[in-house]
Amino acid sequence: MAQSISQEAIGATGLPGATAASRHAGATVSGAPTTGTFAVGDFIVDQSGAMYVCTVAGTPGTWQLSGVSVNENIAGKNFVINGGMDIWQRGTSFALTGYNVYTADRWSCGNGSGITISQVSSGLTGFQYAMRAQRNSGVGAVTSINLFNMFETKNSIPLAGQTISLSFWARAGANFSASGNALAAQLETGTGTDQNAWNGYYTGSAFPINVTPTLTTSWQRFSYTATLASTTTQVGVFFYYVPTGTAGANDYFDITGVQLEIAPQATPFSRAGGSIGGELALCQRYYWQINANGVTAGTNEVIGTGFNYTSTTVYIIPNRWPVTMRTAPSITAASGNISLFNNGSNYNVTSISALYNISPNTAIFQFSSTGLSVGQGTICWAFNPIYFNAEL
Amino acid sequence: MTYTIPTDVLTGLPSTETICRTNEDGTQTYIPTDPANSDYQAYLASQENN
Repeated sequence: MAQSISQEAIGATGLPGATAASRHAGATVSGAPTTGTFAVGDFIVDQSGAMYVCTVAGTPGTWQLSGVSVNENIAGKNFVINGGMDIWQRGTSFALTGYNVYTADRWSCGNGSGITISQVSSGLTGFQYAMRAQRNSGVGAVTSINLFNMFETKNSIPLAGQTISLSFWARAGANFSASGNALAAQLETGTGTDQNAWNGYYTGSAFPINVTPTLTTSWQRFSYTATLASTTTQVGVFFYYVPTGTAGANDYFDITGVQLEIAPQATPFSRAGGSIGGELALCQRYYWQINANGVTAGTNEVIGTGFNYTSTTVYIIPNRWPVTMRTAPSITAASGNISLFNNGSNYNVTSISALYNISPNTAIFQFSSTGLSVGQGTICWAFNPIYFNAEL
Repeated sequence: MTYTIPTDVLTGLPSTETICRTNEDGTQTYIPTDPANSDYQAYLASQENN
């Protein structure tokens, strides 16, 4: 039986100052009404969440879009940086040999050998990539395979006392060996400052979310809600599984779309940075590299320019880091040539001699060579990556 | 891994701002003496254990 809902008039006898009548004229599937007769002030809400108000009476009259459905793709909604597994500055496949190994940006993995963490195409609408955590075929070790995304304290404090929702997409490989196909998902909180969970539980550790959803070989979205203690200063999102038996060819799980938001229920996924550029910038607060992924190894990328302090010593001042880093970074040059170009000649050096004034924004590189023209300017290229690390 | 304190070329004295760590693969990591840097924290922990 068709349901009949009459228009409900709202009179002008409400709050002081509300002097005109209006009617909630029902809903449309999408957009303003195209049929029917309406008066000024009538309003409808369509099924996408947009609201329209009739500003000129008629059939159907003139309608003004006055409220739009919420844009869920908002920078800062998601506290999990790189939850969409978009950024892989260090590479796209990692054979683990220990723990606290950063793979996709902001994702620290472990715990042992015979484990491969890799980027895979997700095949999931709205997500280009997923992270695959796999026990290699034939491996008998059953140490847990862990993925950690640890927030710094400055990004954890806004979550204190809030009702939050953790959501993610996950699926299992055909030989996923966890008992009961269970993936452990945890939200750990603490009261310390910028601690790394690989060094032990956070100070004041608590697990407001500690669940074991059952995976299948199809993508599923899981979501969980909790309220965090008002004393929270550390938050981390952890996933792991404990394999059993000897690994088959597809003993893995895939995960993407990890989101932690201040909300009583999960909303559609949004990158923490709101866009690919924003996400990369957030990641580079913790790590970046010269001659990075995407630039072919063996080609060169400029480090910076400087001058020859002596005939054997060059100081190079790079441009400022892409973003201000969390702290002054540790700096490592991969083995291989660094080239200095001075007075028409190339001078190859194999390593950095020293670094000075390392700050969250820049540093001074020192290189040693011979036969340099004192006081002249020099350009410096890296032929292999130089890594800048300010992770927790 | 081993740690050394490089000489500051400008002063000729041991650097007070950088620690040099030689890694297992032979590469060197320059670590700022910043208490918030996790590699510096690991260096301090290693000194406490020695």
